[in-house]
Amino acid sequence: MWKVFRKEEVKFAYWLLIPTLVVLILIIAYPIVDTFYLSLHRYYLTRPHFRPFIGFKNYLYFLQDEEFWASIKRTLYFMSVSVALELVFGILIALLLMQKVKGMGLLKTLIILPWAVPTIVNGAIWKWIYNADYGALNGLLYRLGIISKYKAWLADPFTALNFVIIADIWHTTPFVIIVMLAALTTVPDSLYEAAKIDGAGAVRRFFSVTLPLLTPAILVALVIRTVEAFRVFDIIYVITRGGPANGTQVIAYQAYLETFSYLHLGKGSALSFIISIFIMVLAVIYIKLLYNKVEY
Amino acid sequence: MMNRNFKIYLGVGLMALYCLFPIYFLVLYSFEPSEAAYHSPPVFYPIAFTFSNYTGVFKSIPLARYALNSIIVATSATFLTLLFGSMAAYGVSVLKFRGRDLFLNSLILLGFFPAATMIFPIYKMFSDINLLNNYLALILPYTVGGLPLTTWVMATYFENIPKDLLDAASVDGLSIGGTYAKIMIPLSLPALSTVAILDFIAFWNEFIYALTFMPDSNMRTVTVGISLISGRFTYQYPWGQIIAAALMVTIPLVIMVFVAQEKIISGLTAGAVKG
Repeated sequence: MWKVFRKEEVKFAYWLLIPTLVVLILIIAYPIVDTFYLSLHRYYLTRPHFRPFIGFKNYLYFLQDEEFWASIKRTLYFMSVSVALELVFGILIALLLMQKVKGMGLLKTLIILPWAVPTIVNGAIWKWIYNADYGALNGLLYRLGIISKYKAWLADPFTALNFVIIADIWHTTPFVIIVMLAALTTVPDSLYEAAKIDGAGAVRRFFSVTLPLLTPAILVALVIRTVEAFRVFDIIYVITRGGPANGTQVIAYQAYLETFSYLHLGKGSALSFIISIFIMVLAVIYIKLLYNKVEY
Repeated sequence: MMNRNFKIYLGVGLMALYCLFPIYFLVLYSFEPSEAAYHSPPVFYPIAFTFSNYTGVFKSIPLARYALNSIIVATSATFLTLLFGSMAAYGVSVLKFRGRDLFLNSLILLGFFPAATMIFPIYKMFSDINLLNNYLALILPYTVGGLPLTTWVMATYFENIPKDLLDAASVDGLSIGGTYAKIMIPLSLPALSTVAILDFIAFWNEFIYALTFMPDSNMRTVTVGISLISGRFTYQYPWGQIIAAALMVTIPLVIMVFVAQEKIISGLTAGAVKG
């Protein structure tokens, strides 16, 4: 790009990459290789010295395991529902926040607030809100006459999964809002004015002016959020610990259990790799999409 | 016009309500005795008012010490992430070497490796080299976690800096390092502060690494410390103290978001989102 620099100076630029490469190799590459090595062995922490090489048997075990596919299904459900709703809410709220009315700055801050709340605190609040005996949700719905007696919201496996999703949406929509606001501020007002003069209505303006301009931002938010949702862990850990009846046991949580509860290090490592492969596939698809669409 | 404004206020008001009502409960119950949280039906407005949760939590756990740990870890990791990330991004945008896209893409792919599954191998490695309970045991993994997004945003930002500026710098005899320090860094302050805030919040809130790599009770971070507050019996669970502590550690982040939200948005505008 900048031919003005002399050759030896360009060499210097290679040195700039070194710190990043060193920490990456140290903290990620080495553990990844180690994880791969462990995944090819039968390795229980209870018998650390008996560690036979078993090839890809740990991987085959999961591919035939019903529990594994159930976790994958739950994860995909969690991912698609939470990301879809976050994007829809994120875009709508961002559009509302772009309106030029008084007090919008304060509202913006208030709406972005949940994002700053630590995940474990977020989990603790919602766990209490959902509580069957003294939770705010029961109290509120009862008082409004919507339910006639208190319900144990987290007792049914599928309901519990949906309620964890609600808590997650509350926590992460602000992130999407920020990305969308960033993109919206680059849209020149004149574009809207032109569309207005052409007689386009609000809905029409959204689909023919706003949405196309937002596409790069939507893709960025989509990539980051999908990947995060696919490996969701913290919020499950705090609210339900995978329960009830494994109803919220997503794939990253299953990997955690294999390693830290059942102490099956070999299986846990194999599961880590399977998760990563899923994510890589998603990521590659997205990056392809990004590179095709973003360059405008 | 009045009508349109009303609709906007109504929409945003409802959203704000959804965002705020859990926080309202946090604030409310932090000033109530712990039993209040177990009232059935739940309490929606203040009844008793007490500071005892705020004072009591300092007796239950060394919150000040935990806060210090969190500050040290999150600040150092943010600094390292910005330094390494901006250096790599600069290298990448100057170099245009073969495999440049490969470097950026692999960086992003590495960042996608799930953290929950990295715990054990990293734990084992740190335990082998005696790094557990050392601030570095969190600073290093956090830095690595922050690098992919940071490098990516910075690289996109650098490429949008007008070429003429750099040609001029070169004519003026600035070396490649001098250009980085005297031109690129000052010009990219908006993007730098954006990623700094994104990274800092992520590091401050991180839980599972902090829980695992800092087994010593003096080395806990605030998120872990709060999660480990417990009463002697189930119904003595000091809920009031937990939320008082949670609020105290969230307030710095809220102030940061409040002060910097315009900056966050403008920084991203010039960076990744624009592509």
